[in-house]
Amino acid sequence: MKSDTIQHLDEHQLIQAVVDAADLPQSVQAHLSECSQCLAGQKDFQRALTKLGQKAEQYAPRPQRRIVLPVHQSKNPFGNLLNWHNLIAAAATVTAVFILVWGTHIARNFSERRTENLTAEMRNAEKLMSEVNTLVDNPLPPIYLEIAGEKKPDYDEEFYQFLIPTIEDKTLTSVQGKRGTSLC
Amino acid sequence: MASSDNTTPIPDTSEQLVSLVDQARAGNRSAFAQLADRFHADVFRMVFYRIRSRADAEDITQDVFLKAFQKISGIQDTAKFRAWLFSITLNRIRDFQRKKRFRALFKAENENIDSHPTAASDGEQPDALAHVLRQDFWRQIGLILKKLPKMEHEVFLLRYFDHLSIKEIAGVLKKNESTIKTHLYRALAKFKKEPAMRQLLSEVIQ
Repeated sequence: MKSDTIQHLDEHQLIQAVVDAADLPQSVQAHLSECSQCLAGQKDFQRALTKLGQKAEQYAPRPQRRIVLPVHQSKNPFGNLLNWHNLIAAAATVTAVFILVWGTHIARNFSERRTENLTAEMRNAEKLMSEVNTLVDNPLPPIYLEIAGEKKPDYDEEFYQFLIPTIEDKTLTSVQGKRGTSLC
Repeated sequence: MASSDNTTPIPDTSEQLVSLVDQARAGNRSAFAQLADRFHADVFRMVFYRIRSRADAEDITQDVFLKAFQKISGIQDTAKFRAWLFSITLNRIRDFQRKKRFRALFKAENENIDSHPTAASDGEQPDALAHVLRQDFWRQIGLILKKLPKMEHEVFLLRYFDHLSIKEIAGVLKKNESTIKTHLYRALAKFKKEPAMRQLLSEVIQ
Protein backbone atom coordinates (compact mmCIF):
# COMPACT_ATOMS: atom_id res chain seq x y z
CA MET A 1 0.00 0.00 0.00
CA LYS A 2 1.22 3.41 -0.81
CA SER A 3 1.08 6.02 1.90
CA ASP A 4 -0.24 8.66 -0.52
CA THR A 5 -3.14 6.53 -1.81
CA ILE A 6 -4.53 5.61 1.62
CA GLN A 7 -5.48 7.64 4.61
CA HIS A 8 -2.92 7.76 7.37
CA LEU A 9 -3.64 6.41 10.83
CA ASP A 10 -5.96 8.63 12.77
CA GLU A 11 -5.49 9.58 16.43
CA HIS A 12 -7.50 6.61 17.62
CA GLN A 13 -5.51 4.14 15.52
CA LEU A 14 -2.22 5.70 16.52
CA ILE A 15 -3.00 5.24 20.19
CA GLN A 16 -4.23 1.74 19.46
CA ALA A 17 -0.90 1.06 17.75
CA VAL A 18 0.96 2.24 20.82
CA VAL A 19 -1.14 0.07 23.14
CA ASP A 20 -0.87 -3.00 20.94
CA ALA A 21 -0.41 -2.82 17.18
CA ALA A 22 -1.53 -6.43 16.83
CA ASP A 23 -5.08 -5.37 17.72
CA LEU A 24 -5.34 -3.12 14.65
CA PRO A 25 -7.08 -4.42 11.53
CA GLN A 26 -4.80 -6.16 9.06
CA SER A 27 -5.01 -3.36 6.51
CA VAL A 28 -4.03 -0.74 9.07
CA GLN A 29 -1.16 -2.92 10.31
CA ALA A 30 0.05 -3.26 6.75
CA HIS A 31 -0.10 0.49 6.24
CA LEU A 32 1.75 1.09 9.50
CA SER A 33 4.56 -1.21 8.48
CA GLU A 34 4.99 0.63 5.18
CA CYS A 35 4.18 4.26 6.01
CA SER A 36 7.18 5.99 7.49
CA GLN A 37 5.06 8.94 8.60
CA CYS A 38 2.59 6.83 10.61
CA LEU A 39 5.39 4.63 11.91
CA ALA A 40 7.28 7.74 13.07
CA GLY A 41 4.13 9.03 14.79
CA GLN A 42 3.72 5.74 16.62
CA LYS A 43 7.40 5.50 17.52
CA ASP A 44 7.55 9.10 18.71
CA PHE A 45 4.60 8.67 21.03
CA GLN A 46 6.00 5.39 22.28
CA ARG A 47 9.45 6.92 22.79
CA ALA A 48 7.97 9.88 24.65
CA LEU A 49 6.14 7.57 27.03
CA THR A 50 9.24 5.44 27.52
CA LYS A 51 11.30 8.56 28.20
CA LEU A 52 8.69 9.72 30.68
CA GLY A 53 9.13 6.45 32.57
CA GLN A 54 12.92 6.83 32.45
CA LYS A 55 12.64 10.37 33.73
CA ALA A 56 10.47 9.22 36.60
CA GLU A 57 13.08 6.56 37.40
CA GLN A 58 15.80 9.20 37.27
CA TYR A 59 13.88 11.55 39.55
CA ALA A 60 12.88 8.87 42.01
CA PRO A 61 15.14 8.37 45.02
CA ARG A 62 17.13 5.20 45.53
CA PRO A 63 16.30 2.95 48.47
CA GLN A 64 18.76 3.41 51.29
CA ARG A 65 17.58 0.86 53.80
CA ARG A 66 18.44 -2.75 53.15
CA ILE A 67 15.83 -5.47 53.24
CA VAL A 68 15.90 -7.31 56.54
CA LEU A 69 14.52 -10.82 56.47
CA PRO A 70 13.06 -12.37 59.62
CA VAL A 71 15.41 -14.37 61.83
CA HIS A 72 15.53 -18.02 60.88
CA GLN A 73 13.53 -20.13 63.34
CA SER A 74 14.96 -23.53 64.26
CA LYS A 75 12.62 -26.45 63.66
CA ASN A 76 13.90 -28.14 66.85
CA PRO A 77 12.03 -26.53 69.76
CA PHE A 78 14.89 -27.41 72.13
CA GLY A 79 17.49 -26.02 69.77
CA ASN A 80 16.61 -22.50 70.89
CA LEU A 81 17.52 -23.33 74.48
CA LEU A 82 21.20 -23.07 73.57
CA ASN A 83 20.69 -19.59 72.24
CA TRP A 84 22.76 -17.14 74.31
CA HIS A 85 19.73 -14.97 74.97
CA ASN A 86 17.93 -17.91 76.50
CA LEU A 87 21.00 -18.92 78.50
CA ILE A 88 21.29 -15.44 79.99
CA ALA A 89 17.58 -15.41 80.78
CA ALA A 90 17.86 -18.82 82.47
CA ALA A 91 20.88 -17.70 84.54
CA ALA A 92 19.05 -14.54 85.59
CA THR A 93 16.01 -16.58 86.63
CA VAL A 94 18.11 -19.02 88.70
CA THR A 95 19.91 -16.10 90.39
CA ALA A 96 16.61 -14.40 91.18
CA VAL A 97 15.18 -17.59 92.67
CA PHE A 98 18.35 -18.13 94.75
CA ILE A 99 18.24 -14.55 96.06
CA LEU A 100 14.57 -14.95 96.91
CA VAL A 101 15.10 -18.22 98.82
CA TRP A 102 18.18 -16.91 100.61
CA GLY A 103 16.42 -13.68 101.55
CA THR A 104 13.41 -15.55 102.92
CA HIS A 105 15.70 -17.79 104.99
CA ILE A 106 17.58 -14.81 106.44
CA ALA A 107 14.35 -12.99 107.25
CA ARG A 108 12.96 -16.05 109.00
CA ASN A 109 16.16 -16.51 111.07
CA PHE A 110 16.13 -12.89 112.07
CA SER A 111 12.54 -13.04 113.28
CA GLU A 112 13.18 -16.28 115.23
CA ARG A 113 16.23 -14.75 116.94
CA ARG A 114 14.20 -11.72 117.84
CA THR A 115 11.46 -13.88 119.38
CA GLU A 116 14.05 -15.79 121.43
CA ASN A 117 15.51 -12.51 122.71
CA LEU A 118 12.11 -11.27 123.71
CA THR A 119 11.33 -14.51 125.54
CA ALA A 120 14.63 -14.32 127.45
CA GLU A 121 13.95 -10.69 128.37
CA MET A 122 10.49 -11.61 129.61
CA ARG A 123 11.92 -14.46 131.67
CA ASN A 124 14.46 -12.09 133.28
CA ALA A 125 11.75 -9.53 133.94
CA GLU A 126 9.54 -12.15 135.66
CA LYS A 127 12.47 -13.29 137.80
CA LEU A 128 13.21 -9.70 138.79
CA MET A 129 9.57 -9.06 139.65
CA SER A 130 9.40 -12.16 141.86
CA GLU A 131 12.48 -10.97 143.73
CA VAL A 132 10.94 -7.53 144.16
CA ASN A 133 7.72 -9.10 145.46
CA THR A 134 9.66 -11.21 147.95
CA LEU A 135 11.43 -8.10 149.21
CA VAL A 136 8.14 -6.25 149.52
CA ASP A 137 6.69 -9.06 151.66
CA ASN A 138 9.81 -9.54 153.80
CA PRO A 139 12.28 -6.71 153.63
CA LEU A 140 14.63 -8.41 156.10
CA PRO A 141 17.10 -10.97 154.81
CA PRO A 142 16.19 -14.55 155.74
CA ILE A 143 19.01 -14.77 158.36
CA TYR A 144 17.51 -11.93 160.39
CA LEU A 145 14.10 -13.49 160.20
CA GLU A 146 15.55 -16.69 161.67
CA ILE A 147 17.15 -14.75 164.51
CA ALA A 148 13.86 -13.01 165.15
CA GLY A 149 12.09 -16.36 165.13
CA GLU A 150 9.78 -15.05 162.44
CA LYS A 151 11.04 -16.81 159.44
CA LYS A 152 7.55 -17.57 158.45
CA PRO A 153 5.29 -15.22 160.38
CA ASP A 154 1.78 -16.35 159.92
CA TYR A 155 -0.51 -13.72 161.30
CA ASP A 156 -4.18 -14.25 160.75
CA GLU A 157 -6.80 -11.72 159.82
CA GLU A 158 -8.27 -11.71 163.32
CA PHE A 159 -4.97 -10.57 164.79
CA TYR A 160 -4.74 -7.68 162.35
CA GLN A 161 -8.33 -6.77 163.06
CA PHE A 162 -7.50 -6.67 166.69
CA LEU A 163 -4.53 -4.43 166.13
CA ILE A 164 -6.13 -2.09 163.65
CA PRO A 165 -9.89 -2.17 163.76
CA THR A 166 -11.82 -0.93 160.74
CA ILE A 167 -13.72 2.39 160.80
CA GLU A 168 -17.17 0.73 160.61
CA ASP A 169 -16.37 -1.35 163.59
CA LYS A 170 -15.23 1.73 165.46
CA THR A 171 -18.44 3.61 164.62
CA LEU A 172 -20.54 0.64 165.53
CA THR A 173 -18.76 0.18 168.82
CA SER A 174 -19.23 3.83 169.75
CA VAL A 175 -22.92 3.74 168.85
CA GLN A 176 -23.45 0.54 170.70
CA GLY A 177 -21.44 2.02 173.56
CA LYS A 178 -23.65 5.07 173.53
CA ARG A 179 -26.74 2.91 173.41
CA GLY A 180 -25.31 0.71 176.10
CA THR A 181 -24.65 3.72 178.16
CA SER A 182 -28.09 5.01 177.69
CA LEU A 183 -29.58 1.62 178.40
CA CYS A 184 -27.47 1.23 181.45
CA MET B 1 19.60 -9.68 55.55
CA ALA B 2 19.67 -9.34 51.84
CA SER B 3 23.21 -8.71 50.80
CA SER B 4 23.79 -6.02 48.24
CA ASP B 5 27.49 -6.65 47.64
CA ASN B 6 28.82 -7.94 44.37
CA THR B 7 29.67 -11.40 45.60
CA THR B 8 26.24 -12.77 44.70
CA PRO B 9 25.34 -12.13 41.08
CA ILE B 10 21.91 -10.65 40.52
CA PRO B 11 19.90 -12.90 38.21
CA ASP B 12 19.34 -11.47 34.76
CA THR B 13 17.84 -14.26 32.73
CA SER B 14 14.43 -15.69 33.30
CA GLU B 15 15.96 -19.17 33.78
CA GLN B 16 18.08 -17.90 36.64
CA LEU B 17 15.10 -16.12 38.09
CA VAL B 18 12.87 -19.19 37.93
CA SER B 19 15.65 -21.26 39.48
CA LEU B 20 16.02 -18.79 42.34
CA VAL B 21 12.28 -18.67 42.90
CA ASP B 22 12.21 -22.47 43.01
CA GLN B 23 15.02 -22.51 45.58
CA ALA B 24 13.36 -19.78 47.64
CA ARG B 25 10.11 -21.73 47.56
CA ALA B 26 11.96 -24.73 48.95
CA GLY B 27 13.10 -22.56 51.87
CA ASN B 28 16.47 -21.37 50.62
CA ARG B 29 17.06 -18.07 52.42
CA SER B 30 20.02 -17.07 50.32
CA ALA B 31 17.98 -17.48 47.12
CA PHE B 32 15.29 -15.24 48.52
CA ALA B 33 17.91 -12.67 49.53
CA GLN B 34 19.13 -12.61 45.93
CA LEU B 35 15.59 -12.13 44.69
CA ALA B 36 15.17 -9.28 47.16
CA ASP B 37 18.35 -7.68 45.84
CA ARG B 38 17.12 -8.04 42.29
CA PHE B 39 13.72 -6.46 42.90
CA HIS B 40 14.42 -4.12 45.79
CA ALA B 41 14.81 -0.97 43.69
CA ASP B 42 11.84 -1.86 41.42
CA VAL B 43 9.50 -2.37 44.34
CA PHE B 44 10.76 0.73 46.09
CA ARG B 45 10.19 2.88 42.99
CA MET B 46 6.79 1.35 42.42
CA VAL B 47 5.79 2.37 45.94
CA PHE B 48 7.37 5.80 45.65
CA TYR B 49 5.51 6.60 42.40
CA ARG B 50 2.24 6.11 44.24
CA ILE B 51 3.07 7.39 47.74
CA ARG B 52 5.70 10.07 46.95
CA SER B 53 7.29 9.79 50.35
CA ARG B 54 10.69 8.25 50.70
CA ALA B 55 10.34 7.12 54.32
CA ASP B 56 6.95 5.52 53.74
CA ALA B 57 8.23 3.88 50.55
CA GLU B 58 11.13 2.36 52.51
CA ASP B 59 8.76 0.99 55.15
CA ILE B 60 6.31 -0.42 52.63
CA THR B 61 9.11 -2.01 50.59
CA GLN B 62 10.40 -3.78 53.69
CA ASP B 63 6.88 -4.91 54.45
CA VAL B 64 6.40 -6.23 50.90
CA PHE B 65 9.51 -8.42 51.09
CA LEU B 66 8.57 -9.73 54.52
CA LYS B 67 5.16 -10.69 53.17
CA ALA B 68 6.73 -12.26 50.09
CA PHE B 69 9.16 -14.22 52.28
CA GLN B 70 6.30 -15.60 54.33
CA LYS B 71 4.15 -16.48 51.32
CA ILE B 72 6.66 -17.62 48.73
CA SER B 73 6.11 -21.30 49.48
CA GLY B 74 2.55 -20.87 48.19
CA ILE B 75 3.44 -19.32 44.83
CA GLN B 76 1.80 -21.27 42.03
CA ASP B 77 3.72 -20.26 38.94
CA THR B 78 7.38 -19.45 39.52
CA ALA B 79 7.60 -17.74 36.11
CA LYS B 80 5.12 -15.13 37.34
CA PHE B 81 7.18 -14.16 40.37
CA ARG B 82 7.52 -10.53 39.30
CA ALA B 83 3.78 -10.12 38.77
CA TRP B 84 3.14 -11.87 42.09
CA LEU B 85 5.59 -9.57 43.90
CA PHE B 86 4.09 -6.46 42.31
CA SER B 87 0.64 -7.67 43.24
CA ILE B 88 1.73 -7.86 46.89
CA THR B 89 3.21 -4.39 46.52
CA LEU B 90 -0.03 -2.92 45.18
CA ASN B 91 -1.97 -4.49 48.05
CA ARG B 92 0.44 -2.99 50.58
CA ILE B 93 0.12 0.40 48.92
CA ARG B 94 -3.67 0.19 49.04
CA ASP B 95 -3.52 -0.74 52.74
CA PHE B 96 -1.25 2.21 53.40
CA GLN B 97 -3.48 4.65 51.51
CA ARG B 98 -6.56 3.35 53.30
CA LYS B 99 -4.90 3.85 56.68
CA LYS B 100 -3.71 7.28 55.63
CA ARG B 101 -7.20 8.34 54.62
CA PHE B 102 -8.54 7.02 57.93
CA ARG B 103 -5.91 8.94 59.89
CA ALA B 104 -6.67 12.06 57.86
CA LEU B 105 -10.22 12.01 59.23
CA PHE B 106 -8.85 12.80 62.68
CA LYS B 107 -6.42 15.46 61.59
CA ALA B 108 -7.27 19.09 61.18
CA GLU B 109 -4.86 19.49 58.32
CA ASN B 110 -5.25 17.08 55.45
CA GLU B 111 -1.87 15.87 54.29
CA ASN B 112 -1.75 15.87 50.52
CA ILE B 113 0.92 13.52 49.35
CA ASP B 114 1.25 15.34 46.04
CA SER B 115 2.14 18.54 47.83
CA HIS B 116 5.36 16.98 49.15
CA PRO B 117 6.82 15.34 46.08
CA THR B 118 10.38 16.24 46.91
CA ALA B 119 10.48 14.24 50.11
CA ALA B 120 12.31 11.82 47.89
CA SER B 121 15.34 13.97 47.55
CA ASP B 122 15.85 14.69 51.24
CA GLY B 123 18.67 12.25 51.69
CA GLU B 124 20.45 13.06 48.45
CA GLN B 125 21.11 16.78 48.88
CA PRO B 126 20.80 17.69 45.20
CA ASP B 127 21.82 21.04 43.90
CA ALA B 128 19.14 23.70 43.74
CA LEU B 129 18.34 23.39 40.02
CA ALA B 130 18.01 19.61 40.10
CA HIS B 131 15.87 19.96 43.18
CA VAL B 132 13.52 22.41 41.46
CA LEU B 133 13.34 20.26 38.30
CA ARG B 134 12.55 17.21 40.31
CA GLN B 135 9.92 19.03 42.31
CA ASP B 136 8.32 20.41 39.16
CA PHE B 137 8.32 17.04 37.43
CA TRP B 138 6.52 15.28 40.28
CA ARG B 139 4.08 18.15 40.66
CA GLN B 140 3.12 17.93 36.98
CA ILE B 141 2.85 14.15 37.05
CA GLY B 142 0.69 14.38 40.16
CA LEU B 143 -1.64 16.90 38.55
CA ILE B 144 -1.97 14.92 35.31
CA LEU B 145 -2.51 11.54 36.93
CA LYS B 146 -5.07 12.96 39.32
CA LYS B 147 -7.37 13.62 36.38
CA LEU B 148 -7.50 9.93 35.45
CA PRO B 149 -9.87 7.36 36.95
CA LYS B 150 -8.20 4.98 39.37
CA MET B 151 -7.90 2.02 37.01
CA GLU B 152 -6.54 4.02 34.08
CA HIS B 153 -4.10 5.73 36.41
CA GLU B 154 -2.87 2.39 37.74
CA VAL B 155 -2.58 0.72 34.34
CA PHE B 156 -0.64 3.69 32.98
CA LEU B 157 1.83 3.64 35.87
CA LEU B 158 2.33 -0.11 35.63
CA ARG B 159 2.91 0.06 31.87
CA TYR B 160 5.20 3.08 31.52
CA PHE B 161 6.67 3.71 34.96
CA ASP B 162 7.00 0.15 36.24
CA HIS B 163 7.70 -1.25 32.75
CA LEU B 164 5.34 -4.20 32.97
CA SER B 165 3.94 -5.89 29.87
CA ILE B 166 0.20 -6.01 29.23
CA LYS B 167 0.21 -9.65 30.26
CA GLU B 168 2.00 -8.90 33.52
CA ILE B 169 -0.36 -6.02 34.28
CA ALA B 170 -3.28 -8.37 33.72
CA GLY B 171 -1.67 -10.77 36.21
CA VAL B 172 -1.02 -8.07 38.80
CA LEU B 173 -4.49 -6.55 38.61
CA LYS B 174 -6.21 -9.89 38.05
CA LYS B 175 -8.05 -8.67 34.94
CA ASN B 176 -8.02 -9.96 31.41
CA GLU B 177 -5.67 -8.46 28.85
CA SER B 178 -8.35 -6.79 26.74
CA THR B 179 -9.61 -4.91 29.82
CA ILE B 180 -6.10 -3.71 30.52
CA LYS B 181 -5.68 -2.57 26.91
CA THR B 182 -8.97 -0.68 27.06
CA HIS B 183 -7.91 1.16 30.23
CA LEU B 184 -4.51 1.93 28.76
CA TYR B 185 -6.06 3.18 25.52
CA ARG B 186 -8.40 5.50 27.44
CA ALA B 187 -5.54 6.83 29.56
CA LEU B 188 -3.40 7.56 26.50
CA ALA B 189 -6.31 9.16 24.63
CA LYS B 190 -6.87 11.52 27.57
CA PHE B 191 -3.17 12.31 27.72
CA LYS B 192 -3.15 13.16 24.04
CA LYS B 193 -5.86 15.71 24.65
CA GLU B 194 -4.32 17.05 27.84
CA PRO B 195 -2.12 20.11 27.10
CA ALA B 196 -0.11 19.69 30.30
CA MET B 197 0.74 16.11 29.35
CA ARG B 198 1.65 17.05 25.79
CA GLN B 199 3.93 19.73 27.11
CA LEU B 200 5.51 17.34 29.59
CA LEU B 201 6.08 14.74 26.89
CA SER B 202 7.65 17.31 24.58
CA GLU B 203 9.93 18.44 27.42
CA VAL B 204 10.91 14.87 28.13
CA ILE B 205 11.81 14.19 24.49
CA GLN B 206 14.04 17.25 24.25
